[in-house]
Amino acid sequence: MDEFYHLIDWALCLSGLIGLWFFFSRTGGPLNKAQAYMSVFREKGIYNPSYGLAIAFVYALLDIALSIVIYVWFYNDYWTDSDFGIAHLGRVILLYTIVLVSLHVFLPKIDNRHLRKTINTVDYHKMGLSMAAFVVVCVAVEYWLKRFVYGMWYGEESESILATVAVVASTAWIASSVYTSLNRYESIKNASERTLGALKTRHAPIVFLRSFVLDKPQRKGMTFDEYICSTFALNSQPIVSLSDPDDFLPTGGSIKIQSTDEEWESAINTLLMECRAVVIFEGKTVSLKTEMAKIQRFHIPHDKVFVATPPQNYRLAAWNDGKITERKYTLNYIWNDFVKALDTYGGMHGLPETDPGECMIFSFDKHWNCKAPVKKTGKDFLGYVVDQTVVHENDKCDYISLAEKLNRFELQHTQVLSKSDEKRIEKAIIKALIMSALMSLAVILLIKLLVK
Amino acid sequence: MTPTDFQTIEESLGSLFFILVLIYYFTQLGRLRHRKKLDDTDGVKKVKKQMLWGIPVFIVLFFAMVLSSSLLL
Repeated sequence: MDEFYHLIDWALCLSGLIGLWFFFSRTGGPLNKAQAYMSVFREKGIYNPSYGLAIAFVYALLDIALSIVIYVWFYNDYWTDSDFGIAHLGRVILLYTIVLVSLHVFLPKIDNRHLRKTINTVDYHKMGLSMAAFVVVCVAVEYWLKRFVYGMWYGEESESILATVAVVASTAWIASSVYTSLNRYESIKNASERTLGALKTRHAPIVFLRSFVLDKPQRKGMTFDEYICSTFALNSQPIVSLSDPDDFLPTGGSIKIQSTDEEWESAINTLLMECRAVVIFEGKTVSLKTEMAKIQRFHIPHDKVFVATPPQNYRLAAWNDGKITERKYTLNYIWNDFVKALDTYGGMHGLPETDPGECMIFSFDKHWNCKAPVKKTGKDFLGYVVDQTVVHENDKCDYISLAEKLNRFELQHTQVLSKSDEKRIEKAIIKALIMSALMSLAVILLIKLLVK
Repeated sequence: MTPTDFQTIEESLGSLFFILVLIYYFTQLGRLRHRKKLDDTDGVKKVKKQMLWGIPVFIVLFFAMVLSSSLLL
């Protein structure tokens, strides 16, 4: 009988732990919070990550201050350790939610689109190091408060050892993630200055057509575009693609054209007329469908066009959004929708209706029927496209004139943020933080009065 | 087995069942949100149907569990 009770206890404990993991994986660490704040800034048209990090910075200080307030007001003989633990959990959820809502309310909507291909002098390496150090200091202070001032985890020895190990491990992980994500900007800030006009080669470019969503996720510090271009001689065989004008910095890999909403089609038209090959990656956007239609409209030869699937980890990150149970369904759905669009808009037939798997390249015969696919990974992927388009190789591409043509369709405004906009944002952030601190204090005070 | 033992087992099984139902519906809600994001109207309909069918299935399962536990224990 006892064993049965133990089994039920374990099952309940396990489901509780899964629930907690689910909650913390979305709202837990400072990095997740910084990302959530950054997404609010992005919604408002502000793409500079330093604002989100600044909020996370002040949030951590507010969090520590509120934990001290809770300790001073509540910790007495009537509160057990578990009550105190629940109060702290409540504080984390409360403050996080109030800061998020306040930012939504106070931040002004700003048009912050500008040409990113300018010289960026910010030292992201130093910024990353200081943020990582800040995370370590914050966690150390909170640990010291919990362990030695509030007297938590003083039960059994194993409990305190476990808590210490968990704190040290999670801090190391968070600090390294903060550093890595900021240091990445250091590595791509020069890539964003690359221009077509500076190319010395005369080989026509290969053009990538893909949804911007596909270029967002990073695996091992590289986006999909950077991954397939990483071992390829880009200076002798340039790869060109459009970039999301909302990216804080255009990613590495192919040379990015940062065109305006009104002119992106003209930019694609220019590229399609001059290119050596076109690679269409699976995707699901209206723009991609427009691009497929252009291939037929401009009579691009069938042997210049390739359809491809990216590596599995990039596909899942772009389309599946971490849903474990939906992996197969999502990949099949995206591919199936893509195939239908290729048939309807691009006039390309015969592609399999179910997901063909990662890194597959499809080419077409003269009737635009799909040939047997080949699987190519790493540098072989672009190598295959180059090998198949040798007949279209010429040394007549004039990159200076191509750059001049495309320059007309690119965003021209280079100013990051006007001084008045900067002031508006700063004021809104200060308002949101003061409001959050006051509201959290008010809620804690109300609970204190109710508890009495 | 005393009546208290029986009551404890019933309560434990009841809470376990309740947690399983919660996990199921939270997972289904996640799937629904994900498919809505993909603009997958057929997929959304399918999940909604599964969620609706879940109600009678869980009710039947619940009564089956109560009956079988009272018969077995």
